[in-house]
Amino acid sequence: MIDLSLRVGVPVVALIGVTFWLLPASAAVELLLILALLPVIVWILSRLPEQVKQGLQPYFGIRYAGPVIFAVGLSLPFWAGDFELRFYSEMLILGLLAMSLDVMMGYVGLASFAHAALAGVAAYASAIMLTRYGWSPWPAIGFAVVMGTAITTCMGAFSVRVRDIYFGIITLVFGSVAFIVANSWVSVTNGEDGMTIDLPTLGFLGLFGVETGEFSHFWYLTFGVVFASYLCLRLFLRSPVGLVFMGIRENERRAAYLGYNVNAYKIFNTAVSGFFTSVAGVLLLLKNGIIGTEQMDVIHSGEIVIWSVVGGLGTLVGPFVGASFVHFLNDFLGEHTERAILVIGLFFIITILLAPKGIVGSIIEVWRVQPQAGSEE
Amino acid sequence: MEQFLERLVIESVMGLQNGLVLALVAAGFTLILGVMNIVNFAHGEFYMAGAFAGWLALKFGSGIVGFWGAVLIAGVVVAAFGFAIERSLFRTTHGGNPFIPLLVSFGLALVLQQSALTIFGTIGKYMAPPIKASVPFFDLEFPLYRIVIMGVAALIMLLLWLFVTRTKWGVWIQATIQNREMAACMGVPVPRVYQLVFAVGCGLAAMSGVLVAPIFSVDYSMGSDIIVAAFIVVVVGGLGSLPGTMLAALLIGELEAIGAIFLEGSQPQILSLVVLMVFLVFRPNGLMGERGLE
Repeated sequence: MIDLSLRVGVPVVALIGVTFWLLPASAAVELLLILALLPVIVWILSRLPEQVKQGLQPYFGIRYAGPVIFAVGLSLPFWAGDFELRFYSEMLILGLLAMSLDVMMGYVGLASFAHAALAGVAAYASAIMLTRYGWSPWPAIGFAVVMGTAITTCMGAFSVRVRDIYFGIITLVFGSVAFIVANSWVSVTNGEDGMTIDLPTLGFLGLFGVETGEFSHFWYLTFGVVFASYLCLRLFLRSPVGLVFMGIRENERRAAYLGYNVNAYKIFNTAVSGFFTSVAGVLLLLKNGIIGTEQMDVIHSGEIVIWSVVGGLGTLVGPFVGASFVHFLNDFLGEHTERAILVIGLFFIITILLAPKGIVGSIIEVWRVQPQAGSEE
Repeated sequence: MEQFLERLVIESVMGLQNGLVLALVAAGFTLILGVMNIVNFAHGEFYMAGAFAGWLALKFGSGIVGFWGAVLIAGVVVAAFGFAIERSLFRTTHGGNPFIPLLVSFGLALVLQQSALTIFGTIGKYMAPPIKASVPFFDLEFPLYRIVIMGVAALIMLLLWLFVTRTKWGVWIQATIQNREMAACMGVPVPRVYQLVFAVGCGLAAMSGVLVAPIFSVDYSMGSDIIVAAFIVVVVGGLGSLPGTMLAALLIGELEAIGAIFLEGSQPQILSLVVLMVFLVFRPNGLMGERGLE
């Protein structure tokens, strides 16, 4: 009992204290109410009668929700302004980054603290090819994705040699070294100044061109890529290979006894994650037109971990929710303080200790229809 | 050529000193990892907290506490803080998914670092060295304080080693590293060992933070500067092995110091990464790891 009250009490008291320390009282109360709403929503959902749960459940599946999201995405440029389009594009890209981390963390149980650095590697690779060598956009993007995937795979291949919790250490070392290289290899990366690119026009088989500087064009590009990535990953993780991943996560030793080459699967998993991370990195470059070393910082990599965990590991949708929610918190806090990450860090600790499944994971857990006694389904 | 040799000797002395301090930080880290199975991402922040605690002790207690008093105070205060953190955040996560303490410590690192930034600002604090004399060294004046640090760090390491190998609690620590369940069955009070190890680890990090404070300045980012090197030392040295940690810390310290002759800024860390990768491929258990990391 003392253990539980300490575990709950200390971080919550710290969060309340820090919020009132950093924010004016009214904003602090507002923020704490918003945060307190999350467990209340989960509690209400858990109390709904079974019939209501059963009746509503299919509408949250891909068959109903998918087309709705698709329609909203397609029509968004007609009713949203430029600022909103840019904002939503960024949300989607950050969600893609978090989702690619979820592939590793949520499905095989490998924590990576280098994802921002890896996305940065891909962004730098394409920026260097575009500006220094004058490559046309598509080859540059292709090169960047190959490069980012290769480096992630390389990181994975070294890191799987040790047990899972050390994996985090080694990725952190990799990430910080990538940061150092980007900072100090000035002749190639421009060092701390970062690299600016002219936003290119991407032609699709000569049918139509996407001007990445145009907000609506860029929205369609991002939406298409992210939606397609989600569908691909969803299919992939439900395939036999994806099931092996989950088997490794649940019991690595048993998976090895069954004859699966666990390390090969882990390396393959990092490669998949690296591919989508690189895509997100290139998208970020196309959105901002600039890549700087601060985007590869360890703190930024940590933020991606926070997004995935807050949203819910192993759910694929969760990271999008987490990225959006933390982004919203960041904006809210940013109006009053420069130290938003302090409050977010505390919120993150509380989430892990009290609801390790994250927002979406917790909802799925209480929402799952309890099997009727006697039925085998 | 002569100049190069001179530089080489000076850098290797500096490397020895950095390595000894690094060994203190990494020793606590490796004990926590070995005993509690927690990758303590916040360890560097305890080192930073120690430096600030020492600075505060000197600032508000000047005249009453000397520098060495500040080192002790910082060690005790941060050890108590670590004790409280272990009790409140980590105690209930033992035995569950090892992911949870890992992520908690990562969040803790963020929170501690950002708190220090909010309280103390970005500008580094200066701490005067207690010994201002210097010894002639070739045509340079080498600060005596750096040599004293080496002695102090080596002494603390020796005391730690004696504690772990010669006392009852030390034997319990070793037993817990080797086999937690069996140790618990034999009557080792495992939760108490956890608390002790976490507090001692944080205290060691804090003391090394104060020791180096007069050389570098005290600022919020000093924890994240040392933590990567400490990680590498722990993997290279082998889990839970103090002699291995010592050797690896000296190796990494020397490597980065000598690398600094040819490279600039933080580039020598790239060399450490190469060493780490070589170890991962050929000797994943580290120099003296007793239990496999695999």
